[in-house]
Amino acid sequence: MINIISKYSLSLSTLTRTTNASKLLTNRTKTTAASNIVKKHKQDDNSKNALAEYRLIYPEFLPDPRIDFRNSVREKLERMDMISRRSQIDIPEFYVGCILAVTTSDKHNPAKNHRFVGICIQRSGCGLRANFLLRNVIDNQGVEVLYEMYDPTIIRIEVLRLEKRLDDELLYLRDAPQEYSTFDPNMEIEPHMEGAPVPINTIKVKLKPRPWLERWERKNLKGVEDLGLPERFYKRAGELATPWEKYDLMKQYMKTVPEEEQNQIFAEIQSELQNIEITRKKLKRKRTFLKPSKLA
Amino acid sequence: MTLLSSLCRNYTKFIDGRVYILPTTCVLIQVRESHKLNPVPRLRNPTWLTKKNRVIHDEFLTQENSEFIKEVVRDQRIESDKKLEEKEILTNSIPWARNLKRTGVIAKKIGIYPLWLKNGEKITTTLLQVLDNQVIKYYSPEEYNPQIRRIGKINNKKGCLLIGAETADPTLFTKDYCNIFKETGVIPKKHLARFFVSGEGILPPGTPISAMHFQVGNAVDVRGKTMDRGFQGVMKRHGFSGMPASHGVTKTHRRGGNIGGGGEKARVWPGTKMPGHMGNRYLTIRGLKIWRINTKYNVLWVSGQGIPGETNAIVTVYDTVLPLRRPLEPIPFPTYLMKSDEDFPENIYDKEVHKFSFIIEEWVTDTVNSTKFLIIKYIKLTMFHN
Amino acid sequence: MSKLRVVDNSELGKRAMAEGKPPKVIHVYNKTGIGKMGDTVLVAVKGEKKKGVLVGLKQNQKSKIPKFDSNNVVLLDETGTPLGTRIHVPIPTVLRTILKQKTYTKGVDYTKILSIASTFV
Repeated sequence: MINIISKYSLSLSTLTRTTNASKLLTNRTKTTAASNIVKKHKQDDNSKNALAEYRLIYPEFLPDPRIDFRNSVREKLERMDMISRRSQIDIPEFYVGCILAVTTSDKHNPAKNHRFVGICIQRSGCGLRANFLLRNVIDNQGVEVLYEMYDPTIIRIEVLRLEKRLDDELLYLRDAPQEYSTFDPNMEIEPHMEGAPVPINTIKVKLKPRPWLERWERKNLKGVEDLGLPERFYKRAGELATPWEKYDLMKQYMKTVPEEEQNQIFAEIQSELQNIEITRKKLKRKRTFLKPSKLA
Repeated sequence: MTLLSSLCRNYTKFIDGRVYILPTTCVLIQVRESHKLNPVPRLRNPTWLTKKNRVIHDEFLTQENSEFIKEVVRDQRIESDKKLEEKEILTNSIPWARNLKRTGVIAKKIGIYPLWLKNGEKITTTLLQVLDNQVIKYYSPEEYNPQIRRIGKINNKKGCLLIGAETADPTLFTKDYCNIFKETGVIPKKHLARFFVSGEGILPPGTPISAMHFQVGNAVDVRGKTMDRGFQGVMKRHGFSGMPASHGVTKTHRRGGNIGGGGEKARVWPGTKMPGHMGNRYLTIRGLKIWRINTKYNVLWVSGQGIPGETNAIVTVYDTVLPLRRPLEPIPFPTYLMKSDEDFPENIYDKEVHKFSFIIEEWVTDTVNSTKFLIIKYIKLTMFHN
Repeated sequence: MSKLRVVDNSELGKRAMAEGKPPKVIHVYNKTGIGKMGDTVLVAVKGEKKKGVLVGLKQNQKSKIPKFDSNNVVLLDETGTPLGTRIHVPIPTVLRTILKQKTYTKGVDYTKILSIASTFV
């Protein structure tokens, strides 16, 4: 019934006849509105920048761009659920290359909560399916754990070190010596100024000699030192490369959500996200204030 | 002989005790099994199965004229809404019994996403949006005239409700199609479906049906058209394993292999799995549990991801026929009646489902019993647990 | 025959790993024949046949279950008690549930593996 009403109201607005009187009215309002446009334009620029940032901070709010999976109602409901989860638990801003600590309630050992520290080597999925892969070396044993961001068994997600790396995925750390993915599980949170740009770690990883899990020479990696392979490997990689794809506008369009739609999505949830950010900041201040009392 | 002669007296002549047939006449000859030669068509289309979409020509309408048409459509809508408001819509519901059959609804499959249960388990759910369903017409068993030709007794004693969904611009449809809705006064709908109901479950035309027709925790059957995959081989169509890629195998990597034996059964048995057209047929998935209902957007979350059709496909949702999953508690019969003053939550959850606005604190084991089982502290927190 | 890494401190396992002759799986005690987390396997190690339990796998796991860089095994003797006295790598916490389910009265007590584990992930 609600659908009918909404559709009905829409049709009414579109079908209203524009009489001469109303035309005159609109003309008058246009002139007064013109002065406001300049002011609005500046505001729009600011909000546009904020929206563009959201794309990087909250990438999982963008839906799967495949047209056969799109549905506006489903996407809206999914976003609502994500927001309501985010209002309960602080899911911080993080990128591939950040060091995270995830505390989960462990079903197999109910007495204790389980905490895992590691470097984020991959972020994938969108909507409620969003997940990230953490890697660490514990007792000389490489361990990877996949966490779902909206899993209710997660109690806390902390960003111990906020930084970016040169690549979008760090799966090559599996083929790198262990020291590159070894992090102290008792590491303390490294301070990061609010609003400061996220530092980029330009470390170049030296991979172990072949055999590898993947053919890294074909992946166009930036965060890796010279692989030291014979010429034929690079030749083959050159043959298989598809450098023209970045000019394929149609392909890019199909693979991404258009900018206008992105802005629409983030404009819809902007106020909620801002509220969440404000409460997070408040809590942070609270924590810093509480520290000295603990020492005493 | 006497019968024949009496029938064809005009066209025959008896001369010298022999029968002569006049060349210009025809003779009635008895043919055995004649009913098979020109049988009555077994399948007759239901009355609502007319041509739906009108061929849209460029009619060179002026701006004013096309606006006038829109205005007429708008007026019709207002009129039909008024009529339906004035009409006495069913007010009292009947107590439900297990043998009674309710109507189903037309819904749209809008996607798949996970939900979590209170024990931390993740489940996949499909979202079905119940469209603006309205009852168009009731067909009594005699009137409906089941599609299969009646031989002997009538098996189906249930009448059916014709239900339409998704209001559309009536100028897009043919006159025949619009006439279906004329009697009821409902604006023509894009989708039609019929649902068999028991005599007590008849709804007056124009009654809206919402997602509240169903209850959380009950099971439903969902019927839809599967994705059309075209002509496919046995590996894709029936999940055969195919044959080895090497070891001397030539040209038979994805073939089915043998389809029958020799000897007495030297033929292909009916129903043998072979290549052919896959998909684009109706399929019913039974016994799907409803985990959550959104009353604002009329969305049902049902378990599983195997619901036929692609995203945005139209499906029909029924109460389940599986005897063990039929509801135990009474359900609104013949349908949930909307009351304007009633206040209900936007989201209704099954008791097992985790609400995203809540938080699972920790896992606690019961040490009283020797067997361990999990109890969850379920606490609502205002903002971030701390 | 997949090669495994012995992660307990049993003499046999330590020597096998030091010599670069890791144990090889010759049988998996389940119905699929594919070794999963917590499955018992029969391994060939230094000319002997030993049973062992898989306590860490390379294969992709579900969320929250760790994936390791090597396939780890803990060796058992004939009675089902672990050969070593300590496990020097982390053990997934899922094994607490899996091994408990596998253990039944008058059968092999797999939970002994949990008691010799040093860390859980």
